[in-house]
Amino acid sequence: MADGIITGNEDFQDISKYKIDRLAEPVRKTFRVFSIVLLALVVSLPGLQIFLREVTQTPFIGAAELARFMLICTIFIALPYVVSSGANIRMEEIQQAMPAKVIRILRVLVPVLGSVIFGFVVYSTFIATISNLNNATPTLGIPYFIFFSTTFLGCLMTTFECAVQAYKAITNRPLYVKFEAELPPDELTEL
Amino acid sequence: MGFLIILAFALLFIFGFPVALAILIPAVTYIVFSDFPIELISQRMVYALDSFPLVAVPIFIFVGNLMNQAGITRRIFRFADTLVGRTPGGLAQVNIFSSLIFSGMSGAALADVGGLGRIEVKAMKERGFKSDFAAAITCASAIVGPIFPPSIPLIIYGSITSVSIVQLLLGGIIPAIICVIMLMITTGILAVRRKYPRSERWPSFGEVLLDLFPALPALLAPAILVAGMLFGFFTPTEAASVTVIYVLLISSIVYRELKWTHILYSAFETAKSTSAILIIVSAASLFGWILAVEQIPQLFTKNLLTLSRDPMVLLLIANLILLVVGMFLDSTTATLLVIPIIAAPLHLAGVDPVHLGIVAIFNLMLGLVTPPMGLALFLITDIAEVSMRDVLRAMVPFYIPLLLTLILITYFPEVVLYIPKMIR
Repeated sequence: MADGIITGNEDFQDISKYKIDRLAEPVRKTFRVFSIVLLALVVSLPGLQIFLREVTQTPFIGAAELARFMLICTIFIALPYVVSSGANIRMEEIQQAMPAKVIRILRVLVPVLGSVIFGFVVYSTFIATISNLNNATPTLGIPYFIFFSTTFLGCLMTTFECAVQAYKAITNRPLYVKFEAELPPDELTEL
Repeated sequence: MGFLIILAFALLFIFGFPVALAILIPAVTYIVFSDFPIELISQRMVYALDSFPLVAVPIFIFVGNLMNQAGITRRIFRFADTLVGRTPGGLAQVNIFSSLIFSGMSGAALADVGGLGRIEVKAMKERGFKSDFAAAITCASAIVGPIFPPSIPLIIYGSITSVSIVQLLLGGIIPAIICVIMLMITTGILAVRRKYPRSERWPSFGEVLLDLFPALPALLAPAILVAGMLFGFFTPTEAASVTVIYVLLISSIVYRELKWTHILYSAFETAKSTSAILIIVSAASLFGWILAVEQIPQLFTKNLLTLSRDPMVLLLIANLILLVVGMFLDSTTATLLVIPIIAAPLHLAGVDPVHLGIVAIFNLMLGLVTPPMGLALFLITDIAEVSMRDVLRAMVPFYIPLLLTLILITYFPEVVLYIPKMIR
């Protein structure tokens, strides 16, 4: 810990440690499980497409569109999980070399701005959905309010996660959470 | 205004903001304070992901995670040890050779370092290699992955530049093999001079067969993948799905080591990595659109073409830009933000887009092993428990074959284009 600032591995805590995390866990779990289900569909759809086309000779019309839609859903539904677990891609090395005061400010500033920006994305998605209520995707005819729904929900939850992190940063608590399934199972590293 | 946005991104990036946020803060601010409709933000972000080739990204990430969980990585390493462990450099050569085989299924350099790298470094240390050398050779050989099919960076490159992904993937085969040969020669020279340990004898034919059999399913995967794409049986995305089914089958039926906990862990890791990578693609699309509105790519093209119209000179300039950019930005961000700007003048000067793709991605991958922001270096210092300074010192000889490969693929386009031309 540098000058009382929680950084690195100390910035993670178990989901049951703080009340706010215990309260948020059912919603977080729903998003996590939903993202895994969507991922399973993304992974299996192209394979299913080949099977139907090559083996049963019954092409799956719209499979590519469905796979693309599932990919979009996976990315936005898993986004709050990325934020809450600190898995964002970033370059922290320069930040770590900065004075403690700057690190402390950035620790609050990053989630606060994250909350504001994703708030704008949520608003933008809402407006885009309202403006396209009568439109649908070309092949499968997925209505736009469904097409944009996971973007809206994912970004809304991300806004919440950023706000939670801002609160934790202000109260100098670890920012990120870990849960059981994230711990690697028995590692097979022996020769 | 365009330059102000680029400057804002650079500052936020340096201050350690998550890359997606560092891109979105100036981009969203620009839209909010301009006359453009607010719904443009979500529309650009969502439609950037509405791409079938990008569907291959989570699938190949999943393959890499599964391979590391299901013991496939271990079998690849054991087979490589039997086959090339006797050559000068022993396990160091095995390290390079394993990376080539591993990359034939995964396509991500960091999955190679984080998965296979753990096994390689541990084994090399046990056989008397210094930790810093083991770490350096692991990093250097991992560079091969992103240009050998399947390759996640090439898929992203193809999806943003509309270049044939099949041709890009096929174009990476010869450069990857050349890079591996150069690394093996360098290692051989170092091994002889430094008297590194190696296997006591060459394996018998029976021993090779014995270790080949468990590794065979893993060795067949890239062959199936390349043949499938070359003969038009399936697209890269479908090939990715075939690979995942293949990995699940061999690890559960043939190897019998895969458990539900492994699949679940791999799935969570994949969901997280996919979202973390592709949200940058999404944000960068909005950013790229703003740069286009501000005419930044056009300005760059105009200025660059006034310097020279010779493709070789332009490739040299592009390489220098990418080398510097790759040292500071991660490869995905660099691909998404820089490639759309530098690609246009090079295409106009007659550089083949597939050739440029391989050169650019290989160049950006060098950023993984160069300071100050070498992600592979950070990862390996943790795995091998060595200091950054020691790894960098040990890396010095390996920069030579990596740079030679870059020069070779830059100035001899046929090295890249030989296989793609077969399907043109």
